[in-house]
Amino acid sequence: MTSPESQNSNPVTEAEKMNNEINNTQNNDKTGITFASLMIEDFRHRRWMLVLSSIVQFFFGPFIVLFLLSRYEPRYNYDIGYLRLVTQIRESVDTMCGYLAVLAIVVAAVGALIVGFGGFRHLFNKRMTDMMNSVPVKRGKMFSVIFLNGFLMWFVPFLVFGGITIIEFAVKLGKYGVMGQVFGYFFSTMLGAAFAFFCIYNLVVLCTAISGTVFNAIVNFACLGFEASAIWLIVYNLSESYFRNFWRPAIDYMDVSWISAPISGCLFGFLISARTGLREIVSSPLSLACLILTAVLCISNILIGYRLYVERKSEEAENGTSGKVYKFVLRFVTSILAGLYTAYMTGLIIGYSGNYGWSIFVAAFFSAIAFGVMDIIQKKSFRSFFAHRAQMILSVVVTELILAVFIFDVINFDNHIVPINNIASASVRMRIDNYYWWDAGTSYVAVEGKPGCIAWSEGAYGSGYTDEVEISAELAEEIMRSEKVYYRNRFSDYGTEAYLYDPVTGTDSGTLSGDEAYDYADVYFSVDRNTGLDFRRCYLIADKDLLESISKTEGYKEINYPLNCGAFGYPMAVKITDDYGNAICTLTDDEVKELMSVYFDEFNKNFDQYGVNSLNQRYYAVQIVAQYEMIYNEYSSGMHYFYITVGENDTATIRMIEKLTGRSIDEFMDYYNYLDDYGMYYDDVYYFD
Amino acid sequence: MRQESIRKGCKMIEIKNVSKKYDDINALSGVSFDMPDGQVFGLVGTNGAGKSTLLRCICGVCRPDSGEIFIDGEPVYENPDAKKKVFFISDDQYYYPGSNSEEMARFYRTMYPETFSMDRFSDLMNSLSLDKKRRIQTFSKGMKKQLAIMLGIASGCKYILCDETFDGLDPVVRQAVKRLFIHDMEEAGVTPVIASHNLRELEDICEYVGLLHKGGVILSKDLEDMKLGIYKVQVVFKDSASLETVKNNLKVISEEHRGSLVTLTIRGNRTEVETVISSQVPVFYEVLPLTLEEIFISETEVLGYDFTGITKQ
Repeated sequence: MTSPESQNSNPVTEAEKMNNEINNTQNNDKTGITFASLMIEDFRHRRWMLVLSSIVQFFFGPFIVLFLLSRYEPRYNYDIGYLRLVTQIRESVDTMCGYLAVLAIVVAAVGALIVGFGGFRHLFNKRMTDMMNSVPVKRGKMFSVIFLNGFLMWFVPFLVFGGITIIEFAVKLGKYGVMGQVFGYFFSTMLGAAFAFFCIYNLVVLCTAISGTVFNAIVNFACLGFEASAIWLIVYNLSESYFRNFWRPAIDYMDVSWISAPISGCLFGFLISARTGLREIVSSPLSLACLILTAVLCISNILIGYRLYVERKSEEAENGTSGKVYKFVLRFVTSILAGLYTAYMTGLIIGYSGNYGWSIFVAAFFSAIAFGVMDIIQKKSFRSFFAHRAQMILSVVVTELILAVFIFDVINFDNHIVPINNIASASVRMRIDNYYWWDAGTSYVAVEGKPGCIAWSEGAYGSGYTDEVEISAELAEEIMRSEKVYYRNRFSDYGTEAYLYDPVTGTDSGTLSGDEAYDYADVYFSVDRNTGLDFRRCYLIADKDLLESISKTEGYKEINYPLNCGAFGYPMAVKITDDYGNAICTLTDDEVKELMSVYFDEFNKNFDQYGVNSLNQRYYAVQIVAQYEMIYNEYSSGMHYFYITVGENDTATIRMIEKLTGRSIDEFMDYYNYLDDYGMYYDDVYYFD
Repeated sequence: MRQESIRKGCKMIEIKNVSKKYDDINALSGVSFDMPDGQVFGLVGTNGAGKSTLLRCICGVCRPDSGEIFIDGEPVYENPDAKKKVFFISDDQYYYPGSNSEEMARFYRTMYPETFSMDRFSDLMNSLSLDKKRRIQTFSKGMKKQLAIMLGIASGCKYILCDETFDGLDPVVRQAVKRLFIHDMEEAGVTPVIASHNLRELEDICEYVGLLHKGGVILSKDLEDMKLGIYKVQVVFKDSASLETVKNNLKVISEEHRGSLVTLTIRGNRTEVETVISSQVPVFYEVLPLTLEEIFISETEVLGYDFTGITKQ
């Protein structure tokens, strides 16, 4: 202690100041306030959150399980055997635990919002902020106490009621050996729910730290939480709407949307809560990268939130949003998104080939409105609508420039041709196949060793396409060049349109809108460029020779028409029906083989000769209904029916049907002009003899 | 004891060139003065002078944009060791919704574990006939103020910062609070710092006063010293030349005429004032002590804070 005299002359020396600062940074306070006592005090004043959390978690845990189990009475069935019974019980436990996990994650997500906004509510009240900041507790310590208490208010009831739920399972179904499964679900759900909780909680805390009112905090949460996804979604939608050659990229929207903390938190929460989910995530590089990115975002959110809380000025309570940079970024991005989304919706209403002047006007108008509204919200003053006129104009200009990129194809997206040297590999799938009215079976594979059985093919629901076929770089380039010969993007009174162009006469022969568009095939293909980037595009092909070349590519037929070329083998049963589904006759096993052999041979012969052009025929409204057994898993299966429509070129098949039924096909069947060239006309015009 | 403390220059709350802005508004600009301990410090000022802001800075609620504030030699902002010596009673104290007095006392006991006395709190509440179990939201405004003061006193903090604390208290309670402050000051060395507009209230209790105006300090002095340096003289001169002579020889801050009676507010020592005035052989003169309110008005008038012309408009 310095003497009073020395204080008088120089009250606090530089050395003392430095010591004080060091003491401060070391958090070496001697107030006697313990972390635990602060936690108890904080808990005391928001115990209602714990009560609410407990009630909700009790309802969605022990209560529901008790209700379900009280109605669940497994009975030994001599027909299925004990092992099968146990398997069935395990399956129902799987189902129950799966639903409980989903509920637990929803509760965690909502709970994170409530404890986040509720725990830091003093930031929205000047008087409370004054009280909290006047007491001798460091802000960092106060933050840690509130943050940890918030987590415990969700987690402790989760543990307690999770434990009770486990006991319920043990009492009722323990003897069937399901407890390992139940424990597995409990831990995976805990992990998944905690992940979802923290992703949302951390962002809520960050948002409260920059907000002076709860309304501002909610708006900021919506902006920071969802704008990253919104940016991706609008780019995707505008590209799909305005670019002729756009096809969804290899990284899907759902993958990239995960960069948004609340969405990715919940999605990963759901995935992790599935018992094998974490293993699946780790095995996929993209999912793992997304998980790591989400975790990094989550941690950075809380670090930024902590920093902002500690440095936050007391007077910011009740004051709107704080931080000039945050405010500008939020206003700017929200304004641009509002402009682009309203322009996109205008396109949806009046059509993308409609007058784009409306889209441009709407984008500018709503961009400015959104900017002004954000300013009003951030400053809590209606007078602030035009507070930042220059910034408002800037955001409108940027919105229009972005929109122009899509409407006027400023980046020359549709005319780009990948040089052949840059094409490392290419694969193709034709949209005409997807519109083809029968089910060609591309989502299934034959089950080895089990004749007449099929199963879901891997990737049928993933990002990969089972009907993609490798093509040569030369063919890929030919597709691109052919499209540029036949199509033009043209501005007209109705906006931007892709016109079919006749290179011989030099005239436009039609637009791509309406039914005419279906006269021509879309070819989607991806090119692995030497740069390593996957380049996916959609091209419109009108050249029949080129279509034939593509469809004659090795493997194309087997991948796109496994059912028709015989890759599934013979079906278990076949019946012949008319167009209305009325059975004409059911075939014996020998007859099945006889008919299908003829059909497979004929299909293969025609396809090998003409490619997809062989499908260009009028089809009889007679159908071969082929029945295969669909294997779902080890224990369950079901019947699956494919409807093969017979065309006028399938002469051998028609003869065989006539032989098997003993009737002339014309007696019971009319055909309608179903396909014309490669297009489809649902004219329902029947040709009666 | 008090005088000795000042003589020794034992400055316990030191405010060094503190400035604070709210957006474009200067709440405090370069405020510097000391608040000696062991006496009641009055903080007076015009509306918007920055009294509340200064108190909020002293207790560490607000961080000054520049300058520093020390409590017993330690910087106060984000320093629990310094803050534990300070209790801030705001003009509208916050209480948790649905809580009662006892729960709030428990809260402050957690925050001031070394010094807070529940027994003292109970005694004070009993003496003021306040029910500890009654929910605070059912209290009147005055009762809430009383509770805040009782919590502050029971906290055992060395410095109790009161922002407009006497507003809303009935005269009996006001006197009781004053007695409590004096008692604690003498017995426990507590230093109440009271910001108020009600200068007559402060005059009864304060020994040291800081005057704020437009975010700056006009003066900070012992109240007696302040009164010694400024005088009000009521005088009747024989002619107007005498008045001019007095004005030329003394530092006259203000003058007011009522017929032949002139009231002058003069800065300087009493002997000098009396010598100059008596040398003019007035018909009558009397030197009167100034009230704190009069000192305040005089000092702020000098700085242009004058609305006497408002009735002429």
